[in-house]
Amino acid sequence: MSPRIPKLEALLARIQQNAAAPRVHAAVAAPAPEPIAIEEPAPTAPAVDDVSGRVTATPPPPAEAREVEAPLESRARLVAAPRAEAEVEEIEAEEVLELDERHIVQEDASAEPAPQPDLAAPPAQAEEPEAPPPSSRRPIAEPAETPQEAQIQVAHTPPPESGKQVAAEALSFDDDFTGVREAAQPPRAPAPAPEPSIQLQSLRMPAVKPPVAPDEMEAELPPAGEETRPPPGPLPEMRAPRIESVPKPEPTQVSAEVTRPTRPVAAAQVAELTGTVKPESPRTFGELLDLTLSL
Amino acid sequence: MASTVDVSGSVRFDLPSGTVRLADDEQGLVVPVAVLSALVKAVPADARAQVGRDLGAHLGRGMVRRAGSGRALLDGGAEEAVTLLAAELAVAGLGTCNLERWGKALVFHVDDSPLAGAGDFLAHVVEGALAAATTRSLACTMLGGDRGVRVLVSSEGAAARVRAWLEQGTSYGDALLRLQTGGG
Repeated sequence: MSPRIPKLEALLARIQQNAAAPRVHAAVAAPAPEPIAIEEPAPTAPAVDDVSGRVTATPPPPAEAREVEAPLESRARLVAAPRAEAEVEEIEAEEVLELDERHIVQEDASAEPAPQPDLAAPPAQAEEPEAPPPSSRRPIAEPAETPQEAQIQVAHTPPPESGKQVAAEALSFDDDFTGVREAAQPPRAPAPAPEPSIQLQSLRMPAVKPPVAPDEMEAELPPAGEETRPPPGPLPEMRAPRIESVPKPEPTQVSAEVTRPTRPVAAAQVAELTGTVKPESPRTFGELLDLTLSL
Repeated sequence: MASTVDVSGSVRFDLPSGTVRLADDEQGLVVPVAVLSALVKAVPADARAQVGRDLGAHLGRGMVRRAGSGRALLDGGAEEAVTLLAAELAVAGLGTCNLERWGKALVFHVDDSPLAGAGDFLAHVVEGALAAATTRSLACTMLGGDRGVRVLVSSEGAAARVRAWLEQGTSYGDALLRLQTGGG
């Protein structure tokens, strides 16, 4: 049997004893400025006993203690026991109690009408700060279990120094921070399948061999130490380089070249008649008749 | 140049016998124009053409008789020939005529005819006269009735083409021009 069992049993008995003892509710003593109807199931910090320094859970208050007003605005409040100033004893994992909805105190408006908030009165110190709205809710970090984890959690980004802040290049707004969230978008059609890629052949110029010069000749160099001499025999005749005209491409557009006369042309008698064409004139009636019958 | 044509004795009236004698002693008949015109319009085209050619043949024989012979007529000038034809038309009471040359085409212009309303009949008369005077195979086609009747003297083929053109609406001037250029 584990040696912790008697210890746990003693702890349980003490808890039961403390639970049976009368306790003053903090929420009753301090009038709430705003009626609260529903408690949000927020995690409650474990209360530490004054004397024993042990962790105790706040039991759910009786039904008479709940205060519920007209549900004009729903808000949750976490009611917890006053925080102890004593040194917190190190708690082992087995001694932590899990809290559920039973540990949440819900104010009931029907049970006890809430007093009107007194603007002149100072705010109650016993009241805990309100929980952040749901839109700005942030995850609550779990307590570190080991010193190493605590050290890691402490190593946060240091707060910015006071002074002129340099704007970031690209601002990014966290949705949880701004409370702005993207609307639900309709389901998008699946993206079409990508078309098969077409490999393009790179155009490269064909390898062109440099033209061999027609007049190029090979000569053997004399060995080292000997002077070069002209080749025996007459020197080859040097020919002038040939210039081959490259045919010009056909012009794509043809424009007329207009050459206008510069001097006027004048003549007194351009045509000269050298004879007359005598029409066919039949001399007899018979010839005239033959002509008309030839048509 | 031929002198005036002497037409004396072309028609002789034998009053005791009640007959009319023509130049070649052939009996004639004096008929009113309205009667002959009505008769020409009443008979069929073939009969009208035949009557016109027969009447023209009578005129052609008169031309030859006056010219002396057919050869003389052919060897003579066009003016003498048209004069003889005009004399015969005038003795018959069918009007006068003159000759027009449209290039190679020979056209007779018959004017002042009491039968101008029957131009095709006059064309058949001219055809008969020339055919009888010249002994040639020819055809005459009426070109138009504008201020008289113009009659083309040509071959049978040319006459058929000109008639086709005229039926298509071609004017006789254009038809004669097309005929000169050999247009089909």
